Amino acid sequence: MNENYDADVIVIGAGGGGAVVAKELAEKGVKVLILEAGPWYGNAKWPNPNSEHGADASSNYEDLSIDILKKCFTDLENDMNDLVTGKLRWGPADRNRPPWTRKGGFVWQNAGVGGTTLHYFANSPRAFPQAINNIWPISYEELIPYYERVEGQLPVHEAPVTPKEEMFYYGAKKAGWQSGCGPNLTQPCYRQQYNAILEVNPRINDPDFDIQNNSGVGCTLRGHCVNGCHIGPTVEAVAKRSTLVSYIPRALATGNVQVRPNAFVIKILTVEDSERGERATGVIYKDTWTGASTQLNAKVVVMSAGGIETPRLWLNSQLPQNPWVGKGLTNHWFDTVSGIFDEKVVMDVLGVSDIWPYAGQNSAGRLDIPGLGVMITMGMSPGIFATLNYGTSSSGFSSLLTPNTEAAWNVEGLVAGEQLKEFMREYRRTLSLLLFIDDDVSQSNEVVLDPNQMDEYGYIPVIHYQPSEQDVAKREQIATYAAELLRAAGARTVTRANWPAELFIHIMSTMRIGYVVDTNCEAYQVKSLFIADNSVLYNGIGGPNPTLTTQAMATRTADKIWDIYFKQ
Amino acid sequence: MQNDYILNAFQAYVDTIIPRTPGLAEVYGYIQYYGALDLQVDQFLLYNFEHVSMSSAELAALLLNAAAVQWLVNQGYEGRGSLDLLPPSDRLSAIMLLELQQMDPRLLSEEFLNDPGLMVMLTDTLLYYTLQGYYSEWAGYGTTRLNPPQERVLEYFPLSWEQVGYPGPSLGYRVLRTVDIS
Ligand SMILES: Cc1cc2nc3c(=O)[nH]c(=O)nc-3n(C[C@H](O)[C@H](O)[C@H](O)COP(=O)(O)OP(=O)(O)OC[C@H]3O[C@@H](n4cnc5c(N)ncnc54)[C@H](O)[C@@H]3O)c2cc1C
Repeated sequence: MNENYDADVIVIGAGGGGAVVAKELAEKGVKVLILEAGPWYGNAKWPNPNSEHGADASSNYEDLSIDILKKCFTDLENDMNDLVTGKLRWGPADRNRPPWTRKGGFVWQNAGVGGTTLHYFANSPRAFPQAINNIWPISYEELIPYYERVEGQLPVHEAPVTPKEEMFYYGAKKAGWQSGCGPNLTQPCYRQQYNAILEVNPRINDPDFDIQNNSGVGCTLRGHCVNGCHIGPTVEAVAKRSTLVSYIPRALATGNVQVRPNAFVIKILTVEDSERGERATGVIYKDTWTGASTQLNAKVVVMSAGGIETPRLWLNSQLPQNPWVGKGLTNHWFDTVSGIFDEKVVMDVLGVSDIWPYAGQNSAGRLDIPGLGVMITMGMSPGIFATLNYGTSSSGFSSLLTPNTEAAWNVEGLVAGEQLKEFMREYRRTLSLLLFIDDDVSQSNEVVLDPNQMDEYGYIPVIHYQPSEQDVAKREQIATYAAELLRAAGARTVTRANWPAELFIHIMSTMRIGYVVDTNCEAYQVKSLFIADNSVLYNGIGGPNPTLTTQAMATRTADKIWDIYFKQ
Repeated sequence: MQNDYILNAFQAYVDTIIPRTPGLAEVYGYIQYYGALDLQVDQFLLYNFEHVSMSSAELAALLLNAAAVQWLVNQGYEGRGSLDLLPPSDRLSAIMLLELQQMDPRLLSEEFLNDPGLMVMLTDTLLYYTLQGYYSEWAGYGTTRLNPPQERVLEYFPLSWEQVGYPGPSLGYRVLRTVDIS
């Protein structure tokens, strides 16, 4: 390493993409420094990550501590996921400080080592080939070896079947959908998820297996993927493979990586190079506890701050104008459809009394429909369950709407009052489906800076997202399919939420490959500046959950960075 | 502004979304009687609205009461009132005006006119907090429920979890099935 550098490569953000590019480079011998805005859970240098500053950095695998992780991740949904005070929130480690404000809708993302994968479901499907081939500047075939590397590394497994998935497959079959398809999907198909979750502990159903004192490896089907998984004997062996427990430990094990949590990058530094034009030379970050600024220099800088923050940082750093920076946002425009079942029906189909939405992996079954979108099973603890199924809608309160007798569902919109309590009383026999569509790329769907409002890290981002007419039609279609599936399974009451478009969960394609970055994911206008997060995706990959594809791209980008800047 | 003004509005709101339900209690057992007021979800709203970067408890209360006024105006009454003074059976219709963004801007204070997204954001957040406050473990923090988050201790099993049949967090479930789906 050149002695003027603090690292060979600085990676901004330790989430879905950042941890991957860091580990891949470090394994080649490159010195990497990761700057992460949020806290680090499960590291001896931060025994109380939410109440004390702790150390500045950790670069030692031995610092990882499963005991601290278990102490931090309490399984309590409000403690973990409250938007204002939760441990998995978009805000600084110190929970006495407010979360970071974003405008234009609700952005569900998380700051911390592991990023939003700390509370993701770990669904790790590949893209639909038809959304890549002849559309992206690289082919699906070129992605396959990178998919395979990530699937092996995480690792990805076929998800287990628990009652909620069995009911889903039963309904899918009765509704006439096909099963039996591989990972490269070209036809509609229902299947077990490919989840980045370790296989189920083989003794799980054994009555003698001591669940309370289990120190074994493997998922225990306890339904806390979203509230923070800590099941496993060591950090690296935790069942759900957020990058906190998958790529970060491997990165540390190389001895070439340092991670600084509580470090919010506010500026990318560049110089004008007479030969090569503008080139990144480093960053300035602020400590989220003390507010102190630090400047760091490196040969290469990688932005992995996510689909909103990467364009925000570009714009706040006043990097060159590009008509596609922050533009082309896709978000899969989600919705939920749920079915409430009578006990007798559940008994007849499953031989047990309940569907148990809180048991099993949060999402373990899926139906993919290339050209349209995806529906997945979703079981959650009751607070999040109530919010996502009955408390999120642009239709208003269902009890005040004229019933639509043509619709495939009985109830649409927000559920409140006595009806809400009646529905929640049947929580245990409710099967929820989360739907998301293959939404169009449009330049007017964008992340821009608020011209007036700043926080301590610069102008805050504002999102504008308006689905196209085609998107509207797709969402109606998939909601209808979902309702029909639940009916086919025997649901008595089917509810549809009709989510507003301004709820952002799969935030993608705001710094698109071929527009903002070249096919190596290096910025066209700023040399030695790369991007490795959801923002480089060219589109919404056809509808599937995006993280595996982002991770495959990040793996590829690490190879490219090595080839261009470090290989001798 | 007085906390009372805010809490009155929040109480009227949470009681509308998750009311006491004597009818359900009769059919399904007494536990189904209790609603958001019994778990003091209005206080959860106040705490969370006060702990965001632009404390917005007062704005949220103003908005709820503006909706009550709008509802009265729509019915042909003189425009004065607040959500807690509306009959409970009319409150949901008033809140619906916020959900469907059918407010006359003249009834809104300046903050809302300067920031078109604010009304939507507060309306969504009110409902989100109400459902979180009620159906999550929050009420179980008992005497520590309004402490800073690091100082809350789960004191008892939330009543709402009993209502819905959630057994609480677990370290595992013996629910693996062997099914061939292909
Ligand atoms: C509830 C939920 C469930 C989900 N389930 C799935 C799923 O099952 N499968 C799937 O594929 N996707 C899922 N997603 C989406 C998934 O989480 C994202 O696709 C993925 O995390 C994106 O990776 P990323 O690197 O783009 O961003 P992130 O993972 O969000 O990482 C960005 C990181 O950068 C940090 N950061 C941001 N700005 C700065 C800055 N200026 N300085 C320093 N650090 C910064 C952030 O704190 C964060 O840690 C889910 C999302 C949610 C909310």
